[in-house]
Amino acid sequence: MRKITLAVLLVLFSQIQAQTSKFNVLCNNFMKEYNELNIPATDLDYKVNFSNIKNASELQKQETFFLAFEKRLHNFNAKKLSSEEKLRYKQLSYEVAINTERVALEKKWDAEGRITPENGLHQLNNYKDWYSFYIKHFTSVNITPEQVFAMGESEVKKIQQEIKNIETKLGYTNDELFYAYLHTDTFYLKDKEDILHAYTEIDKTVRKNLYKLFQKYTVPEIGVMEWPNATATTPPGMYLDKENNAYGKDVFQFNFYQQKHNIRAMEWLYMHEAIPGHHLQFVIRHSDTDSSALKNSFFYFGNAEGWACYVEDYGKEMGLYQNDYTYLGKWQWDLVRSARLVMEVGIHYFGWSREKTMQYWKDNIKGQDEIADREITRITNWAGQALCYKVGALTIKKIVEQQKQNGSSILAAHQFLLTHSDFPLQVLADSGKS
Amino acid sequence: MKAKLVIALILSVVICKAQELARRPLLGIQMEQITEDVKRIMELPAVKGVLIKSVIPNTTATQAGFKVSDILLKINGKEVNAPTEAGKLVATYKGGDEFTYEIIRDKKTITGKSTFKALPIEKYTDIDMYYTATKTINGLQRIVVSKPKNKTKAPAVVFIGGIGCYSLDNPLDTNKSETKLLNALTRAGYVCVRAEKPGVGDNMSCKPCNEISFNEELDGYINTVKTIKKYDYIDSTQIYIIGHSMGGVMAPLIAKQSNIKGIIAYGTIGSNFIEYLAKTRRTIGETYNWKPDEIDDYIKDYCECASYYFIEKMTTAEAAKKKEACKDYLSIFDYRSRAYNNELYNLNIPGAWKSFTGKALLMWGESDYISSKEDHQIITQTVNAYHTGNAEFVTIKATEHGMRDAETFQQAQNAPGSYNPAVASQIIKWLRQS
Repeated sequence: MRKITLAVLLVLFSQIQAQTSKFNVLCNNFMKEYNELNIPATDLDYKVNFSNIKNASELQKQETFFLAFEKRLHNFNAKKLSSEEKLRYKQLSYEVAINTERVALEKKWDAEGRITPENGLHQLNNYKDWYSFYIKHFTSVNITPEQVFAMGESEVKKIQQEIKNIETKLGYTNDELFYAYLHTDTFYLKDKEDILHAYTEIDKTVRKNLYKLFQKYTVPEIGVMEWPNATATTPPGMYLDKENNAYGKDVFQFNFYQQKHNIRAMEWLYMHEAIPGHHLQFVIRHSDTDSSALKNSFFYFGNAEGWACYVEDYGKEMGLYQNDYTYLGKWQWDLVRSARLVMEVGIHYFGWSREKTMQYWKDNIKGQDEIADREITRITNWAGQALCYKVGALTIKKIVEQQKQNGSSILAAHQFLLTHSDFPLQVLADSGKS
Repeated sequence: MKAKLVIALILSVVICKAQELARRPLLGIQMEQITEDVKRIMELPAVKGVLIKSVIPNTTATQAGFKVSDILLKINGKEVNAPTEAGKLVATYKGGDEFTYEIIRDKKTITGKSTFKALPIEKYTDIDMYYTATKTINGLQRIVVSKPKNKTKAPAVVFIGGIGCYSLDNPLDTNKSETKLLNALTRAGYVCVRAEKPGVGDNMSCKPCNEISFNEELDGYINTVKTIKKYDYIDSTQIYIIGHSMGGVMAPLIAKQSNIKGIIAYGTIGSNFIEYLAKTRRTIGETYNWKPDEIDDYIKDYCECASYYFIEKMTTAEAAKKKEACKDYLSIFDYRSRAYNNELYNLNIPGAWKSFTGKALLMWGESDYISSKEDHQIITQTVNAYHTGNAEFVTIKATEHGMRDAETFQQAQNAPGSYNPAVASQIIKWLRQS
C-alpha cells in the first residue's frame, strides 16, 4: 500500500515537474518573442509615447504575437503549477491582455492619421478608451476613471480634515496666519551639513524600528546627496539604485533648490525614497531567488510608487512623525497626491480646462500655490503617472488587509509584497481573493 | 564657355573652403560636476574632474574605452573640472586629432591615448544634407543646408538664430525647434539654410562668439546669403529669411545688402532696445507672479541699471556699485561683448525695416514672455506705412519663445513642451501665398 502511494506520488511529482518545465519554456519563449518585437519603453510624457507608436505593419506583427500567445496560454494547463508559477501565469495573461488592448488602440490611431492631442487625451475621439488604458497601464489596477475620481475626492476630504485637526491642535483658528507661518524660514534647513545630519538621524531611527512591521533584512547603506542642478520644477527627492546611476552606490537625492530644504517633508520623503520605500523594495527585489524569465522584466509603476506611498503611513511605527509639523508635512503632500487624482481625471476624461483645474487646486489645496502650475503641467503631460501613488497605495492597503484576513501577520503581508514588487498589483490583489 | 569656367572656379573655391572646415569632435559622454557630495559618495581623492554619467556608442568615448562611473581628469594634460570646461576644450580640436587623457577608474588613475571621432552629420531618407562654409571677416563659418531630395532647384529659407552663442548644427538632437521647423519647410519644398554664428559649432573663427560685435556677426550672415545664392539648387531670386528673436533684428539689415524676397520674424524686437527691455521686464514679472507694484519697481530699477551700462558706459561691476541690483539685472549683457551690446543699443530697429521692400510676416507666440506682442505690431505698422500691404502679423496660440508648446507664461518658464508644428504650418501657408 505504502509502495503504491509512493509510486502515485512519484508520478504526480514527475507530472508537476514536467508542467513546471513546460511553463519555464513558455515564459522564456514569451520574453524572447516579446523582446524581438522591440516595443518602445513607456515614457512618462504621453506625447512621446504617441510619437513612438510603430507603423501599421509592426503593429500587425505585435497583434499577431499577442493573439497567438493568448491561445497558447488558454491551452496551457496551469492547474499543476506551484503557487508562485500561478502568479507568473497570471502576470503573463495580464501582459497579453493589456498589450492587446494597447495594440488595438494604436492601430486605430495609426489608421486615423496619427494625430497627437496637444493638451490631454480628452482631445482624442476615443479618449475614454485611451485614458482607461493609461490608468490601467500606470496603476496596474483595474479601476475606472470614475472610480479614480471618486477615490480622489474622498481622499482630499479626509486629508483636509486631518490637516484641519493638526491646525486646531496647534492652536490656529485663522488659516491665513497658519499658512503664512508654514512659509517662514523656521521650516527650511539652509545648511547642507544640517540636512545630511538630519537624514542620518532619520535613517538610524527607521532602521531601529523596522522590525516592528518588516522581517529582518540586511539593508545596505544608502548615499544621501543633493539633487544636482535642481530647478523650480524638481520634485522633493528621488531614489536612484546603483544599477541606474554612475555613483556606484544606491543614492537618495534631495531637492536643495535655492539652497533650502523643507523640514516638514524630510521624514515622509526619506520613508518614500529610501527605507522602507524604494530602497528596501529594490534590495529585496534583487535578492530573492526566483529564476523566472519574467523576473524584473516588467516595471509596474503602481507597485513601485504605490509601495513607497503606502509606507509613508507608518511613520509613527518607524519612530517618526513625533512632531505635529512633520506629521502635517506628510498630509500636505498626501493632499497634493490625492488632488492629482481628481484633476488628472478632470483633464483627460472630463475635459477640464487649465483654468478649471487651477480653480480646483485653489479651492482645495491651501498654502501650496507656488507648485500649482508645475503640478497641472505634469498631470497634463504625464497622463496616468500621477495616479500610481495613491491608487497603488490604496490597493496595497487592501492586499495587506486580505492577507491579514487570510491569517497572515502584517510582517508576512509586507514580505509578500516586497518579494512580489515586479508584479502587476491587480494580479496580487486577485491572488489574495482566491 | 568662359562663364562656365568662372562658375566652375567659384564652385571649386566654395567646395574647397567647405573642405577646409573640418567637423568638430564628438566626445560622446554625459557628464556631471564633481561636488563635495559626489566626492564623499564615490570616495574620491579630490573635487576634481567630471563624472561620466553615460557613454554614447560609436563616439570618441567608446573608442577611448571610457566607462560610466569613470572620472575624466585631463585631456591633453589640461584639467577638466566642469562639463562646460570639457566641452569647450574638446571644441578646440577637430575629428581625427589625437589626444591623451587621464581618468580615475575604481580609485586608480589611468592614462591613455586615443583619437577624436568627428561629430556625425544629420541624415534623412527624404532630405539631402550639405555641410558647406563661407569666408567672412570672422573666419570660416559653417552653412548647413537641407534640400528636398526630389527637387533640383527651389526657393531658399535662411534661418538666423537668437542672441545666444549656440550652434544650429546638432545632429544628435533633431528634436530642437529650429531643426524640426526647418525640416518641415524642407519637406514642403524649400531649401533651408542654417547660418551658423561665428565661433560656434565647426566654425574656425578669429574670436569666440561672445567677443565679436553685432556688426561682425551681421557680416557673417550677409556673406552666408551671398554664398548660398551661388548654389545651383537654390533659386537666387527667391530667398527668404527667418529671423528668430535677435535674428529678426538682423534680418532687415541683411536684406539691405542682398535681394531678399521675404522676411519671417518670430519673437523679435521692434522698438529701441531700452523700450524692449522695459516692456519685457513687465511680462517677466507677470511670469513670476510678482505683484503690480513690485513689477513697477523692477522696471524702474532695471532701466536705471541699463542707463548706467548703455549711457554712462559703466561695466556691470561698476553699475553694481551704484545699485546692487544691477549685478543681477545686467548679467545678461555679459553673454555678449560690449561692442555687440553698444551696436544693438544704437540701432533704430523700425528704421531698419523702413527700407525693406519685400514681404514680411511677423509672428509672436502667445506665451512668449521674452518678446513683446507690441513690438511685432510696430514692425508690421512700419513696413505697411512705407510699403502698403507688405506686412502681416499673426500670433501662434499656446507657444513660447522657443517655438515650444506652453499654455501660459508660467508654463513657458517652468516646463515648456515640445516644438509646436503650428509654427511651420503658418510659415508654409504664408510662403505659398507670397
